[in-house]
Amino acid sequence: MPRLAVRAELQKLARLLDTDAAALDFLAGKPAADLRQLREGVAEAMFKRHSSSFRLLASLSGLLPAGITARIAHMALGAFLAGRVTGEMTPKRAVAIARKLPTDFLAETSLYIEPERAKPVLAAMPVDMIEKVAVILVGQREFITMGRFVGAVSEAALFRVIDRLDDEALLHIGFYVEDAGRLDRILEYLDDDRLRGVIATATDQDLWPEALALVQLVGDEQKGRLGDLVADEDEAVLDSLVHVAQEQSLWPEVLVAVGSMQPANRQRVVNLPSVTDPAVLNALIEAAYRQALWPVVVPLLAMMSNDARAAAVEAALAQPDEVWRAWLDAAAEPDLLPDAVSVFSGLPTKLRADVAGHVAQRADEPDAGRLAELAASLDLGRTR
Amino acid sequence: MGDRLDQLRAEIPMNVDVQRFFDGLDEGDREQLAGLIGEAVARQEARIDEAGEDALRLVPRAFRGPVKRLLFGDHD
Repeated sequence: MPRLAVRAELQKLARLLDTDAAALDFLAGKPAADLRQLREGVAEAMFKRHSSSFRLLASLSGLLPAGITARIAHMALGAFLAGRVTGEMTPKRAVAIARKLPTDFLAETSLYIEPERAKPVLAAMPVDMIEKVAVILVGQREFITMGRFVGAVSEAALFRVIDRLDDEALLHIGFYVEDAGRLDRILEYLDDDRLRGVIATATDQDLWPEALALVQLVGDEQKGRLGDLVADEDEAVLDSLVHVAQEQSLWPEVLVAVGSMQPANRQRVVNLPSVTDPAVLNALIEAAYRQALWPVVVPLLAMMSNDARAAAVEAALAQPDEVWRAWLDAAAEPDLLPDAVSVFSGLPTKLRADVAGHVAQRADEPDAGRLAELAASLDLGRTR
Repeated sequence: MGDRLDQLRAEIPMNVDVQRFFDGLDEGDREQLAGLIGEAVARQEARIDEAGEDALRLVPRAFRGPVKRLLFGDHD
């Protein structure tokens, strides 16, 4: 299953191309950033094909009173063309016309506006108007459109809309937000009680992927805050997160969230029975390898009980050689060495010998010096 | 290069990022993506045509042709 950011991008691209996201499955292996560049480039190219017409229509609209232009837009141009022309108008003119249009037409028009292009217009729209349009869009479950507008409307409008949204809508919309800075501002605006409600909704409505997508985008401070609020929840909530991570291959996202928690919370989470299950540890090690997340995973392993550490090492040893090799390389890094020592030193003798054997196999390699340091610090030499 | 991609290039300008994305795809995927984008472009044309025709009903019949060319040009 593709990473969350890729899923969101494929859905946005599908919307642009007016097709099903499933029709784009063949692009699921591409990085989210590349897919975004593709989408933006195609949107721009499609717009450019008629940009002179859109600009001309916008200029002509300035020759008539706002009321008449609004009537022409509503009765003759339609939402699609009106949406395309919106970004070419001056904000003052666009607001004057929008005031004369019915809210449901504005909502339909918003589906065809390119938020980036229409930013000055959207930022100038009155808060009340944005709120009314947002209510209609939520009713129609137009979460992609709303997510893309988050970075374009004024902060006052954004907060007003957030106050009107339920937690489910907030999670769905957050999944499609492109402006990470705005997400941080939203989280700063939401108090802990509201965020606890969002977490409860993620559990009850199977919306953990949406919640985890938010965590990936926000800055370290809000990441830590969200992570700690999750860690405060009872074991059933945390188990549901583990279950979703396992079922949907979301360990990289979960590991980032856990890694940003306070140490005491991290310790609690990594020692949950559901986390120390061998299948979960196996998936966790695989995620660390595939996404180069050893700097997050090794300190977490160091916080586990001796039994869980041993199970994690066994899981790594059971995987292809390159996985174990990558772990050893990461463990020998000065920043991770103390945690790696902690993980390996608590292992049963047999496992310590296995680790020593792997280290010894690399004695002739150019980086053997770093590994020797690791072996010496673990006192693995004696087991050889 | 495949037919669909060539056709798409003739229809819309592709910036460096879009071109690079296509370059990173194998032949089959390139054609599939070009086909999907081409269909979206065609749908957009149809929508603009339809909206243009609706808007032109406000213009006296004798002037519709010139006004249409002025507003929407000729993209066929």
